[in-house]
Order: sequence, then structure tokens, then C-alpha cells
Amino acid sequence: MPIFEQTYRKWEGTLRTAGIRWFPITKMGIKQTFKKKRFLLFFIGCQVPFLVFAIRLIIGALVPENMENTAEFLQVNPSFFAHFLWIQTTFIFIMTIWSGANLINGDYQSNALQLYLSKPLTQLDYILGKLSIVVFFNLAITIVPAILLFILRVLIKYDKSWFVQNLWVIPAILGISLAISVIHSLFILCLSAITTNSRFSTITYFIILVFTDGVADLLYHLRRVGALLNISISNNIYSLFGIFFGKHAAKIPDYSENMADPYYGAAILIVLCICCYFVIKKRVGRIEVIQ
Amino acid sequence: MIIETNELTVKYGELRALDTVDLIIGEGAVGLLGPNGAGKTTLLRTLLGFQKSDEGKASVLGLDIKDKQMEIRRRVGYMPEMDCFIPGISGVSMVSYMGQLCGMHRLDALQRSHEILFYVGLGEARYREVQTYSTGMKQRIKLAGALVHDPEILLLDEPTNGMDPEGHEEMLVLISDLAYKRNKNVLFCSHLLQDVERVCKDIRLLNEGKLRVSGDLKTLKQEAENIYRLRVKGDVLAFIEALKLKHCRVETDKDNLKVWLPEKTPLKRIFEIAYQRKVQIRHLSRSEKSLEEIFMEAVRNNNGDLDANL
Amino acid sequence: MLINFENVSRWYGEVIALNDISINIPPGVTGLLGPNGAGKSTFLNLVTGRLKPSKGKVRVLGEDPRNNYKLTRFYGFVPEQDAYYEKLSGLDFMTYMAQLHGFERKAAKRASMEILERHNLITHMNKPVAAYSKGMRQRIKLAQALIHDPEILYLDEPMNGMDPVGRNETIDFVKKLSSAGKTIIVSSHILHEVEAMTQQIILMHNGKILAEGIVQEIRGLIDEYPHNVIIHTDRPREMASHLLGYDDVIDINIDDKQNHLKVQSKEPEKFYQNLVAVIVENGFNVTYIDSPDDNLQSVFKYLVK
Repeated sequence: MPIFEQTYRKWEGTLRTAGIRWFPITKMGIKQTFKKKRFLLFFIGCQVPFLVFAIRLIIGALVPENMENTAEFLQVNPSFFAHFLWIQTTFIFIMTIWSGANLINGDYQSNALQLYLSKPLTQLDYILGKLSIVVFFNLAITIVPAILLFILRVLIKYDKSWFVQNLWVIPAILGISLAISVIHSLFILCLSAITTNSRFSTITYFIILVFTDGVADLLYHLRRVGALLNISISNNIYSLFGIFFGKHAAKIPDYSENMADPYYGAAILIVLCICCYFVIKKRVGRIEVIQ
Repeated sequence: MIIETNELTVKYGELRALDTVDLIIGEGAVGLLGPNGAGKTTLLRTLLGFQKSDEGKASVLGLDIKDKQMEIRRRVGYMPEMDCFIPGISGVSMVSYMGQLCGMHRLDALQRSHEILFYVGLGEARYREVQTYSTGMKQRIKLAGALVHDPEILLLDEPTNGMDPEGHEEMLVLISDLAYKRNKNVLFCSHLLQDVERVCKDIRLLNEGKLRVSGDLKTLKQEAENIYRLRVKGDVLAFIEALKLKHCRVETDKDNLKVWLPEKTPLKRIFEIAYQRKVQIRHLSRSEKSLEEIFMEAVRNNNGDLDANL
Repeated sequence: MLINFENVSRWYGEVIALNDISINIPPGVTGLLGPNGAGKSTFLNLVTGRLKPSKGKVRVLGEDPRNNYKLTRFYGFVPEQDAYYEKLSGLDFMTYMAQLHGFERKAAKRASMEILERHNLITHMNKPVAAYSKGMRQRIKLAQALIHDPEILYLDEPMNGMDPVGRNETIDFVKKLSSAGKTIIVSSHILHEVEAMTQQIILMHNGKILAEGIVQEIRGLIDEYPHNVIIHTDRPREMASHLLGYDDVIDINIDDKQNHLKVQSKEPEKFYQNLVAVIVENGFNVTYIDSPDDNLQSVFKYLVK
């Protein structure tokens, strides 16, 4: 086999030293995830609620204003956006698994960590790169469609007072989407770092969620102490809507009064995130790059 | 100086994996040798920043390992010993990805990736997914990944591992090309001493955390002027007898002879004796110590006994 | 003959791993050489009875190794991979292996300690295998194959990844075992390592046997092909003109600056016979003679073509 088909040329370019070092990891991860056909279908499926809400919005905008019995559901108010994001949160549970279950354990199996860490990347860069993949997908089904809905509303029926009154919804959307995305991403990344197989991380993820939920429900029904509901991770996540959307959250159809306390919930989730981060850091740090 | 260490010490608890190592590695191809557990791996890890040193200093291309780690990694290409790859993508994508991770612009990385893959002999396989590659191909793509960002230094860890004779040979040719024609500084770590002899001009040998041998191979291998190695075909025993009659000392190892010519006896004498005994001389050269001999001597010198590390 | 293959073929689906192999393996050390995919592993799997030949007969010590429990008493196998019960201590691991071979518990422990002593592992016998260094792991791999003192030993790529010290130890060890009367088959793709251990080799490629016999003889096969000889002398041109007088010499390259000659001869045997005469009769001062093609690797390349 001839070796020197093309000789080695010196590269005259320069390496970028500024900027986000881990961005190629994000790009590669996104590309690889989209390669799976079933995922693409799922991703499109996640946008269906966006279509439904967009249609609601359009109809609501076209219906004459003075109809007194304008159905509640045609109104575009903060709880409209909150409801949309609430629905998307359910999809996030699955999106997280799909895009994140084998992010780190896949690298263990193929020893790819050695390749990453021998490049000018710190462990933190690697972690952020991987994290950003899941965050990207989660945000793609929350922030992006939600903001689009907002813009759509403004475009179809520009109403200055409505705009000024509801401007706060934008940071609320950003806040809740980021919060939920980051929490889920850290969690799945942590599981991916401590398991060896994507099957294990998937199963563990579901078991933890279902288990904490089950225990919380059971104990609550036995003791009727509100704080017990905070044992459930998913309860805590949903309760965040109370923080970002305030009283408007109450208008979300599934948001019951028996919701877990949002501030306890937030605190628990913050602790969860911190723990996940340290576990990931420790596990990645333990990989011996050169043996 | 390419790599320089100054009393570098790395401790794992009580064990001194590197013990006040003063090492200078210059340009060209240098072999890094040593038995398992000698500290080679620790040295590489420390230079690349995965291991903190406990005492002493070290620098790569003049950059201190303590605070210029990222810069060092930009200018060093590391080829790992173990099998490693990114699953699910083609060879070109993987090498281009590695270029991007070093900070190359996407298009630059892609273009370079194609070039490098041809250079290492994977031109035709570059669109295939990496997990379908054979062992030899996996070694080549690791080399490609280390070359894509055109580093000044290449750290090659057992580069011919698991390759069959043909691939093995080609890899050594590639590395020699990189070291001698492309001005790359190569640090060649291998247990295959024949490979090191073939490619490197200098060696550094570590044992038990200390630097034992350092210098250029030619000088290290020199033996006295009057010793020759021969391989002959024909009536070998008669030939040896005749040599001994002329006061030559002869040692045999299968069909290889090592002959000590007595003082004032010219080399011609050997030919004359071969002519008389009608013996063919298939190989003749000034005797040199083999790298293996140098290695064993160095490792033995510690306690006179080999099993120190095992 | 200890091991006998008669028209053995073995395939996996469409892939043929061994193609009509007939060979007898004598006592002593035999090297099984060839690139990856040549059929060496299949060969070892057949002699240890792990696989059945698709065609032909395999006989070890006169018996079919397939499902032959009795035969396991007579051979030991050292695999390429590291495969242990990592949490067991060295002693426990060896005792377990011994028991698997049929030793009863007390005898197993005694035999284990003896063999650990012989392999320089006695001081580490209570440490878990996971804590062993690479060299120690290699030694315990050898030990587990020898605990029942078998007649035949199979080594699969034994020096893969070993450092020179370990390599030398293995080579010495194999030579020692051989002089103790054991039969050893070493499978490897590194030609010169096997050359250090034995004279008897079998070259394999693509499931076929290319050559078998003594290293020197096989290497001598290179004589049947034209090859290059490099000579360093004080008067290269003069020597070249003398050599050109012989009809086996096809081509000569002269490097005046370095006083090198590269001669290509189509009949090396004749060439070497004439060379010494030319040197002595004309008083040339020659300091170096070598043929870069005169090695097993080149033979292999030619045989493969």
C-alpha cells in the first residue's frame, strides 16, 4: 500500500485561543444525535404542541375583541405561555434521556476521554461541552417555540399595552426553560458519568423519578404534610412554575393547589444540581488519560 | 530545548514515581524507554498536565507546565497507547473533530483532515466509520489525530502496538519521515527496542523514577574498535577453529559470530581465513552494543538484580 | 508427533480461517508466526478443543481434543488477554485454578504455593490480583497454565505489551521449559521475538501455511529471490567493475562519497561465494557487508506474493 500519496504539508494557520473551547463538542453531539432517524421524528413530534398553541393564538387574535364570552382558552396571557411550557416539560423528561443517556458512558466505552483531554480542554470544558448538548435540545423545545409564540402574538396583533403588560413573560420563559433544562441535563449527565451503559443510565433515571414521585405521594397521603411532596423530583420541577410565573401558574390546567412548595423545591433542586456537578467532576477526573 | 525538567519529582503517597529527574530532550527523534513502572507514563502525564508534580519544575517548548498547560497541548500531538475513538462517525469527521478541539477553524480542520488521512495511509478508508477499522488502521488514525493541528512535538506511545509486520514497517517509515524530513520533534515511547533503534538518534532511559541513561545512540552503542559481528555460511566450525588459531576470541549465538581481533591484526585476516576455508560471509559489521544490551545493563545496575520493578 | 492436523479447514460463515492445513508438530518449541487474521488463534482454539474443525482431523497426543476432559491434564493454555478474578488474592486464584484441574483442596494449596514460589510471586500471594503489576500478571498467567505440570503449553501472543525485561524473562522461561522436555507452541506476529526463542517455526497467512521448518532454512529461501547486498569498501568503483564480471550481478549502485556499493544479485548463493574471493584477491578493504533483505520479514513478503 503506497504511503506517500500526498505528502505532509505544514499548516500555516493559527489555532484559536480565545472563545469557547468546548463548542466543537456541542456541535458534534448535536450532529450525532440528529443522525438517528427516530430521534428526528421525536423532535418534530415535540413541536406539535407549538403548532396547537400557535393555532390557538391565531384564532384568538382573529376573533373579534368584544365578544364577552371569549373562551378562556383563546386568551393569550401569561398562563398561556406557562401552560405551553408545562406541556413541554413532559417532553423534556424524554428528550433528556434521548440526547443525554450515553454522553459520558459512551466515551468510557470507546476510551474517547483520552482524546478529549489530551487536547487543549480542561475537564470543565469537557463537562460544559457535554452538558450543552442536552441543554441545547431541551431549550430547543422550550425557549425557542415559546419565544416564537410570543413574537407571533406581537406580530399578528400588535397591542402596545398588552406588550408592556406581558413583557415580563419573556424573562420568565427564559428563566424557567433554563432552569428545567439545566437541572435535567446535570442529572442525566451525572447518571451517564456513573454508569457504564446507556441502558443503565436510562433505567436509573426513570427509577429515581418514579420512585421519588411514588414515595412522595404515598407519604403525603399518609401524613398530609405539604413538605413531603418535595421528595418527588418531578414535583419540584413542576413547582418551579410557581416561582417564575407567580399567580399565573395557578391557571395552568394541571397545576393543583396541592403543589409542592416551590421554594423548598427550588432549594432541593439546587442542592441536587450541585451534587450532580461534583459527582460528574469527580468521575471525569478519575479517568487516567495515560495509563 | 524541547522538553526540560529540573529535579522533577512526583509522588504517589510514599512511592516516588519520578525522583528528582533532570532531563533535557532536544530536537529530533528521541526514544523514551524503561521497564514497566519506571516512570515513563508518569512523565508523560506530568508534561501534559494530568498529574501535578510535587517538587521541581518542567517546561515544554519553554512553557512552564504549571501554568501554560493549554498552550502546551496546542503545540503537542499525543498519540495514546490504548485504543480510542469516537464511535459512529467517519475517519474524516473524527480527525477533523480533533482539529477543531485544538482550536482549528472547522473548514481548516476538515481540509487538513483529508490531507493527513492520505498521508498516514487511510485515504481510501476515510469515509468509513471508525469502529469498522482494523487494528492497524486504528493506530494510523490515532497518529492522524495527533498530527492534524500540525504540532511541533509528537508524543507517540507504543505507536506500532498490535500492527502486523507490514503495517508496523509503514508506521516506522512514517515516523522517520516526520522526524527527519518534516522537522517534527518526536518522543517515541516503546518497549520494542528494535523500533527505537530504527527511528531514534537519542534515548532517555528511566528506571525506578530516575533517569539512568541519556545520550545519543551512536555513542552509547560503541564498543571497542576491534570487535566485529559476522554471519557466515559454509563450514562454520572450521572457520571458527581457524580464527581461534590466529588468537581471535569468538563467541557464537546460533549463526551469528562475535569476533575479537587481537591487537595489530587487521580486518583483512578474517577475509583471508574465509577465503581459505571457502566460507561465505553474509554479514560483517563493526560490533555495537544492541539497545537491548544497553537497556539490560541500565536496569540491572540498580541492585545487580533484575526483579526490582516486578 | 504430538500434534497432528490432517486436511483441517475451519470457516465461520463465509470467512475461511484455516484452509486445508496438514501439519505435524514435533516436541520442543515451535513458533506460529503470521499477521493478524492468518489463522493462529483458530489454530490454538482447535488444539485446545474449543472449536471443532469444519473439515479434517485434529489430534493431540493421538486423541481428539474436542470435549476431551482427560486431555486437559496434558496441556496448559496462556491466553492473550488478561482474564482473572481480580478480587481474589494470588494464592486463592491459583488454588482455585488448581482445584479446577482436579487437585483436592489441601494439595491445591500446596501446589499453588510451590508454583508461586517458582514464579517469584510468593511475596505477593496474599494481595489481590487487581493490585498486581503488568509483569506479575504475566507471571501468574504462566503459572496458572503450569500448575498441573502439563506436557504441552500454548502461548498466545505472550509478549504483547511487555517491557524488554519481561520479554527477556519470558524468552528465558520458555527455553528453560523446553530443556525440561516440554512442548511449547508460541503464537505471535512479532518475528524477531519468536526467533529468539526457537528455531522451529511455522509461517501462516490467510489460513494457509506458507512455510515450516528451521528459521535459518526458511530465511535461506531468500536466496531464491534476487536481493540487495550493501558493501562498504575503500575502492567502490574498482570493486564494482570486478563484480560486474559475474553474470549473477544485475545492478550496482555506487555512492562515491560514502564508499558504499549496493549490489543486486539474482543468485545470492553464487554471489556470496564469489565475493570473498574478489575481496581477498584484490586486497579490498571491506568494513561492512549486509543484506537488508536477508531476514524472515523479507521471506515472508515474497512468500505472500
